[in-house]
Amino acid sequence: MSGRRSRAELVTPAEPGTLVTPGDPGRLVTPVRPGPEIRRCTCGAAAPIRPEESMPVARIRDHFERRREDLIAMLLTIQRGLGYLPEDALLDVAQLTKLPVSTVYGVATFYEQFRLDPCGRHVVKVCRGTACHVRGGDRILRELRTAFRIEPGETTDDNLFTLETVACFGSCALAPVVVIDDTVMGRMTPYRTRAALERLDDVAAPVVSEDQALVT
Amino acid sequence: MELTTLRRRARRQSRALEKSPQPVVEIGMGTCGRAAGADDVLAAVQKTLDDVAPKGRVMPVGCIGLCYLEPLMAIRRPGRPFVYYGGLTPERAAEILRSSIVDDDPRPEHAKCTRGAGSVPGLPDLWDLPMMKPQVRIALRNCGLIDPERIEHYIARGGYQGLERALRMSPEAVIEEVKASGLRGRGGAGFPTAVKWDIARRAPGSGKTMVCNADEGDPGAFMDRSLLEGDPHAVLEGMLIAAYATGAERGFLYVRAEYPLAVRRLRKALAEMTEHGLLGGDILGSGFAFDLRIREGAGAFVCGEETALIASIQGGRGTPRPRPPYPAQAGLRGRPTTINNVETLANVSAIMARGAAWFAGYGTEKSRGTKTFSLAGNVARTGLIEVPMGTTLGEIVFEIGGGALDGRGIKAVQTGGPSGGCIPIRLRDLPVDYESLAAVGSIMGSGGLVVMDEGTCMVDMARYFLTFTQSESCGKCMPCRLGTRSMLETLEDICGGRGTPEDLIVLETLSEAVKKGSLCGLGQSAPNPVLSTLTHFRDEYEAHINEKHCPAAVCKPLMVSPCQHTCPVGVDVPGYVAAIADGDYLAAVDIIRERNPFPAICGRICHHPCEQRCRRGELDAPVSIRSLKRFVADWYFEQDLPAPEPFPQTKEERVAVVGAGPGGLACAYFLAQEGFPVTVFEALPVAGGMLAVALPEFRLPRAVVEQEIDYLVARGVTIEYDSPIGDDRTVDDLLHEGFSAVFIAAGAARSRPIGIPGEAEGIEGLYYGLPFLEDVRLGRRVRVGSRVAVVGGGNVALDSARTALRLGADEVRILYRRSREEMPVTALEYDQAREEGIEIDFLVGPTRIVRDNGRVGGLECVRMALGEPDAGGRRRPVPLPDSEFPVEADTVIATVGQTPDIAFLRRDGIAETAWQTLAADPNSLATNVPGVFAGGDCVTGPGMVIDAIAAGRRAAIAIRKYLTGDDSPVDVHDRRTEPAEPLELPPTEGDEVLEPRREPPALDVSLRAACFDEIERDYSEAEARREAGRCLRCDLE
Repeated sequence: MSGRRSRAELVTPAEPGTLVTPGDPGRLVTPVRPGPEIRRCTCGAAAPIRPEESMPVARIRDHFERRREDLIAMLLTIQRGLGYLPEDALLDVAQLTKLPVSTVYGVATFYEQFRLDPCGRHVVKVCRGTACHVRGGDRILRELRTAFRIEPGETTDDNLFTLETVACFGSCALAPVVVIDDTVMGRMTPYRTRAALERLDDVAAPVVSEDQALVT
Repeated sequence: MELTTLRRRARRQSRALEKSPQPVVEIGMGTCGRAAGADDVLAAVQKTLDDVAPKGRVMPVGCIGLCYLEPLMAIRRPGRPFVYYGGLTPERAAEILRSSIVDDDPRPEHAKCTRGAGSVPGLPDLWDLPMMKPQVRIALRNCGLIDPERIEHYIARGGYQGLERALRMSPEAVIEEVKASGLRGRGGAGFPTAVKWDIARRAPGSGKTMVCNADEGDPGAFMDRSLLEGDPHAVLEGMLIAAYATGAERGFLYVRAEYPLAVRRLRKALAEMTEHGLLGGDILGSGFAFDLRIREGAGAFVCGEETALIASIQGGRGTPRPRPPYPAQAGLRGRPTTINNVETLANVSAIMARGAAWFAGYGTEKSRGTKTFSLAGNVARTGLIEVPMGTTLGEIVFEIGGGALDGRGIKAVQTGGPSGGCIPIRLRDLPVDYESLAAVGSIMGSGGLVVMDEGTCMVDMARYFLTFTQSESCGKCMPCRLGTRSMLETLEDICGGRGTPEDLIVLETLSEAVKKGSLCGLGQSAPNPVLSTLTHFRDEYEAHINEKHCPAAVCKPLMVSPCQHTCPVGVDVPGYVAAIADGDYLAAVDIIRERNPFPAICGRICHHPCEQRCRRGELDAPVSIRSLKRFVADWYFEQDLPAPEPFPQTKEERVAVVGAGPGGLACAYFLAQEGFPVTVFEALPVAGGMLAVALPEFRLPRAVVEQEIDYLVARGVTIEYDSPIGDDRTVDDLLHEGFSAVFIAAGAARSRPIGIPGEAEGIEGLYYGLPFLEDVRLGRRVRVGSRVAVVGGGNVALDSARTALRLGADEVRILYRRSREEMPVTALEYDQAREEGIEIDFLVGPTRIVRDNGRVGGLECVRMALGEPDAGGRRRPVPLPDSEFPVEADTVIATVGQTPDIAFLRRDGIAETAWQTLAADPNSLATNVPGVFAGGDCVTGPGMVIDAIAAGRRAAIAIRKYLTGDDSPVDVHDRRTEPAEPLELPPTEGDEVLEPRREPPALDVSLRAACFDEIERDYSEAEARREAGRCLRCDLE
């Protein structure tokens, strides 16, 4: 385990900041600030990975030929099982495929689908496609941001909702579209979205408290 | 099983299904159908079928393309056609099914159309619907008609015949056939498919690969998804043919992970193909071997780029690489690789089955065949369509799509997603093919077609697309990575009210750099949305930058609420509506008067653009803003309030206003408010301009106009009547008399002649709109005959017609050379006129007035058709040959337009435009003569009252700036009036019962023809407060 930890340190990403005044000719100076780390789950549910949660990782061991070409498919499989890609899983995949951890991390952060943090119990995705934009999808997103008090990509403190945006679901004829868990809902409005959330079994109504009742 | 055996069995099954004594229920189970609630409908249908006899069966089908009607169900009873029902709820579906099967009543009142042999009275055939008729379905040939999860359904409709035929030919002959068909890549760029195949075929090396690009990443496009969900085998067959032709041994289907249903159906289809020998070592005994796998993408737009897609299939980050080598030479694992789009492959299987000549028979010379489009956005009928190449944009939007949604005018059509452009609707006759779209700055793209209306801001659209491309830029090459970012920041500045005129140059320069310097298609095409909107909608950019105004009322930082932002004077509508709901009427009137000194007049005759943008209108119907203004203004004048005090005069400089119309008076009012002494010079003995002399009593009583003018005078505005400015007293004289500035608001009061033979002076029974209305309004004696023909289609035409009716005409007919769509009148006016019995003939133009003993003896007319749009975007009427016909009339009222009469200013040397209007700076309204300003109809040509008031207010600000030596531009920002009291919770859409919009009471139509009494009445106090309570307070968002 300790070996893994130390390897995990290596994958801490960094982002170059704004270019500051050039130094000597041929030498540009830029400050480097640490980027988001591969964070461990904060809710405690997945850290360390419980036996049943390591199942998808075990499954990819048997299911795939462990080739580099299977990398995306392996990550998708793990994410479908766990809901996200825990650090340990990335390390396992790197070991299985004999790829550098940085490559695995690079792929996991390149594609929209992958998530490095566990999501809430419900994932609410708002479509940001052109038709949805033209027909008021933005207002649904604004309502949810205010209601959940989070930004897209984040999870509410009570771990109930994760809010995400998707480039396009391809249900443009029914715009605007919202996807709650895996149910695609068309012709949505801010109100209908809220009502759909309140219909979820484990959500105590109202999702929006009285003092922040929002305008459609 | 042999394909021939399978085909025989499939046909037998298909016949059995057709002749089945069981009812069959088809339900559209594509993602769209499901998103609209098809799962619940399916469950309800299954439950109903369990209960009723005879037993029926359900067949899930793909998308037939009528997405706006989803959830969609079709029921066929033995020996009858399928009957389609749309917009279903589970309850309604169960009810219809029960009555159809049990009671033998197909409920045609709920049905949309039929399909197949036989008919139901009153229902059109599916293929005759306006949405379907112009379509030719090649790629979508089976979509919505078969169960996509059963290979037999595909085979029964001729599936895999193309493959059989191809396998009997040489690969070269297959390529020749595709070449002869003229097929070009449907992914967007339009590269000839046969050429691509030929390069791959000739490329040396083994392990050739075939890839189907189903990574439909364009926001706004869903053709590929529908095709894969609705008819996967059509694509897979095409892929086998392509593999055979190029010599590929293995293939990959690269599908978006966002399309789980498509992935599921493809897996099912692959299993069926393997089972029936259509995949594997020896396909159909031909010796051709092919292995096919699905690769799910994980969400990256750049993977639509060939080399990025290959990198992704190989398991890496989807970044492109420079070409050459092209994938056809060295692609996946360095082997020659052919990549085709989903729709291209679906066409290939059809071409091989039916022949190149058949396919090439559709489309244009350079763009053969058809193209699928996902028609979405602000259009009445959204859906999946397929039309021959060369179909015009107008046919797609208006005939297939049914035109605008909720009556807003259509502004533009966006094709090609983030790589494409926005095409203004005045180019509606543009044929849709690769070259024509490129010529106007857009691209064909994969087929996303999003319709945008007046409620769409084109700058915001450019910003939206750049947000997308910037975040999807893979970061590999600098021009794209940094260029899109800089462009986005500039666009955000413009949308946020921080734009400068230089920004447009920056955008153009960056666009060129990004286009030229980027490594792959993503960057090379990313500037297209910006460049196309800059070309076609530059005025919107300029409004954002120069006036901080978003014409579509979309860009939030520039506005408080859409209604206020749309109001030309920027009245704080939510503020006064809330005050009315609160019962604080005096506060409401004060809020209106901050921007508009004529609440009672505008409460009657304003064309209320604010209501067009009212958020509540998206829910049920807009708040009746105009009637609320009227209610509260009338309340004010009914109170016994102390006379208002004149504004204190705090400034020395005197200002003269020429013309006491709404514009001139508004300017005088706002200058008086600033403390300037103002004198208005009016040629007539009455003030109010058109409001006083041309508006008919039944729409705007004179007493109301007088009340408002008395109020202005009480606040300190001086009006000198019978004081024309002109030859005896020029504008220059006014300046010499001690006026420091002059505002010319002379209006547009000269009637234009029709310009046809017989229109000689002095003919009895011929009137011109404005003098006619003025004579009636001022109580002069006017006689009309029994048959009146009014020529024109604007406000003056309607007012003249309705006035003639009240003067005793038996029959009044309006002849208008355009259509209702182009008539610049409100729905209320139009409907009231029709109620009163006014006939309106559209697309009719008079060619001659027939004289009969010095009197009007009738009109000769010709039928018109709408042709090419003019510079303003309105379609120009053109006469149809041999369509002359007579119109009986003894009175003709000509109302074909008014022009300003500015001859009186000639001596002052004020510059004019080519259209005989005064030339004034659009921002400051300054003319070429220092100290002289001009605005309203005499500058713009005839406009609306509220536009004149806006010009007056702008002039007041400009004159104040001029007199105080402030040379900054005029800015008229929206401002919020601070609410005095904490506000009650606004209603939301979720309230159990939505309070409907209620119109104020009106004079019964039977009483109208006999008198000039005002038609509309006031709300009662309770009604007004209830209506005001409907406001959603989106200003607080």
